[in-house]
Amino acid sequence: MTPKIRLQNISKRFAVGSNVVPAVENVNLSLNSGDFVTLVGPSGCGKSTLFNILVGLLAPDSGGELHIDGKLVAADHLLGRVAFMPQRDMLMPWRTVLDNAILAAEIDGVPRAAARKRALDSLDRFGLRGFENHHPAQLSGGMRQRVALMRTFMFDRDVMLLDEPFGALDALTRAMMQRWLLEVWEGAKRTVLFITHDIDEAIFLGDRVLVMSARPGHIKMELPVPLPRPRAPDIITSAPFVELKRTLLAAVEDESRKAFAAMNREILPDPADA
Amino acid sequence: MSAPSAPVPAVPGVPGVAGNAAIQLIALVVMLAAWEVAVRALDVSPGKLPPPSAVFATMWSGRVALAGAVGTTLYEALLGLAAGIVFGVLSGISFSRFRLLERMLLPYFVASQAVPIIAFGAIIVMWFGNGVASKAVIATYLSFFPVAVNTLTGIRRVNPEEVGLLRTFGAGTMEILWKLQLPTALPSIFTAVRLAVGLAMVGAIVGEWFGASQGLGVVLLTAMFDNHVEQLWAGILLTGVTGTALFAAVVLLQRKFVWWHADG
Amino acid sequence: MSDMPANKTGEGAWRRRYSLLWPPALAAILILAAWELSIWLFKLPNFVLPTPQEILVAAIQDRGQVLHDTWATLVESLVGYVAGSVLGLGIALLFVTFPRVERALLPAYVTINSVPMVAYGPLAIIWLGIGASSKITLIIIAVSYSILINALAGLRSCDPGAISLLRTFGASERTILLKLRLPAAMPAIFSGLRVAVVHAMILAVVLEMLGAREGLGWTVFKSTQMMDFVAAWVAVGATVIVSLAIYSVVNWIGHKLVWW
Repeated sequence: MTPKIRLQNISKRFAVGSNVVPAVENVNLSLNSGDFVTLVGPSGCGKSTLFNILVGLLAPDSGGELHIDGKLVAADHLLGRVAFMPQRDMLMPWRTVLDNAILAAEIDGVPRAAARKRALDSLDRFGLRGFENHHPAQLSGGMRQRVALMRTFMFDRDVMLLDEPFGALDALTRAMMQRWLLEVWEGAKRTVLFITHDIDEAIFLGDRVLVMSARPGHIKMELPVPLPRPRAPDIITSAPFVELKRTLLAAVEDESRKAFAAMNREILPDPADA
Repeated sequence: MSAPSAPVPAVPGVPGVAGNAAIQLIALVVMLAAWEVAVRALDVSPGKLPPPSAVFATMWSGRVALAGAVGTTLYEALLGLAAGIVFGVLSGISFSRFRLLERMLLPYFVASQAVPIIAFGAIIVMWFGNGVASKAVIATYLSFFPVAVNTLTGIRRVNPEEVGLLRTFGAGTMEILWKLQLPTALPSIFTAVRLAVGLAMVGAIVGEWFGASQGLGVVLLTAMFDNHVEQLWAGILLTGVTGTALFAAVVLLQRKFVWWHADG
Repeated sequence: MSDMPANKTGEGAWRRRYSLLWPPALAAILILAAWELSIWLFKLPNFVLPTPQEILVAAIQDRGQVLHDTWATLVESLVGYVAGSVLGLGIALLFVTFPRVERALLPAYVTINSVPMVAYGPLAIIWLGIGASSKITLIIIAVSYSILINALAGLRSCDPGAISLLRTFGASERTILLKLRLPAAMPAIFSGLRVAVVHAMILAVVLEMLGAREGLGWTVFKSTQMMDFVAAWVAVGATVIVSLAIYSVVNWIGHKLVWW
């Protein structure tokens, strides 16, 4: 089967002052249709750079190749092709929940009335029924994230990129949101790449977990998660889960140590993280 | 780590004060040159728009009188500004102390900023006469209101927990004011003073229009009556230079005393 | 258009309003009393300080003239204010769309405005005469500048991450401007509009003092020269009322449009 998206030898270097700093180097990655892939890595490993390349905001250095459905494409071709959800919800305070949810679809050219109607029909699925006319300032953090996620789903694209969407939530809300995300995803069957710092989250959600190395980032390890779906909350205490976690922790620890040591040597911020 | 911000080139926003000053200076020189060339090339009658060279010649020949005018206006504005700041800060502190006083008077203070209170200038000149005092009083009350309001909002910005902490150290009211409340309020007081500088200049000049014997306002007014356009432009340029210098002085003071608060 | 948390019960709202209103009302009564008392105590003649009643009576007796002057000043300031606001916003959009134009023109605009606008008053009178056009022109320059600076800051204030997000939705620069930057700039634009009300009124009144045929500023100037101090007080009072009225309208529109 041809992968939905394939990155081949993707590198990106930034000029920082007089130095040239590689942010990601020789990243190879493919997402198959319907995959839920999670990605973990130490801070400053170039995850954001990789994401910006994947959504078309940043062109990789020459030599790398981007393929969609087996076809080689230019970097800016990806703009408007991938449904992206940033870390912060970026809801517009002047729009209602409903109008925030349809923003991407609206920009995509769907008439407002049609988009609103479709959004009204899916309010239940996102747990926002009754809040459609509220404004973001009136919502809790978890609800805001659901609106942002709904906006991402309403932007009908096969591939979704979620950048630590639950990073700012408290642990309980976070666990609820994870289960709920899996339900929504199983109903909609999209290809998902999900970035997280949290190894439990990565295993619980993913079909595969990718571990990114310390800078310059590349895919250091790819670990399939052979846990059955649907996954119950208590799966995180099962033996196979713990075994996967042990493997991943070792890999991530190793990279974190390298990243930390590098940070102490010289502080070079990821330009895309600024 | 924040959201996916591609390394977009920094927004060409307003640069720092130094860069700004250099850009403004270049702009001024370019504008003067363009003005000179345009007036000569288009053969504009000097009665309408004199070339800058003629303006500078007028300034040079009248330098003693003009220096006196700048001195007078600057003196009036500075006197008024100083009084306005002192009274403003004191009333801001009183407002923060006496809640009822604030609730009684603050609405009027705020409303005064939506009103051309300069119109009262005519009455002030009537009360205080044609000398320096009336202009200084106008400059005082114009600069007073923003300083008072911003002192209060600045003091209100103090975190009550910090006040509590100082209390546990055994600090008294005055110590809390000096060591915590005023330093916290200083950035917002300076913001008001920057506004007040312009207001004090306007107060001095307009005050002179109601009756005075010397000052930049007098230069402007007599030039208007005599239809002396070179003199008028000389007055405008000197007003701009004086106001900008005063403003720059405040900015420098602010940088020296409020270095921890980037509000350049 | 907003459905923010509704007001509490009518009674609670009334009580809150009452507790906000009585202190300034008390202050007004105290000030008026002190005013009257000092006139009575120090036997102040009315050219030093007329009583509030004298001012009120004069205002009612001369209402024809007062309304005429008020109208003249209102027209000058409003025409200049509206035109200046539109111009300022237009220039801001131009600058944001074409940064090159901004780099060339903004320093010139700043330089012109580094001179207190009233200092151009005599020049405006010489060039444009003592009619309304001299006032309106200066008001347009001052108001447009205040709107321009605020609008530029507002249009630049929005989160670069939000712009990137919209671009991943395939938004064009125009869409980003309309759906994100302009709404995000509204609070800043309105604070510019609020400040500009005062600029417009100051310039109208001060320029009328320099030379005019009608208007509140002209009446203030004329009556102080003719030692008719009650008339000066009436005109000053009318200036205050007009200014507060315009300000309240702008403020009200601002709250309706920028409720978030």
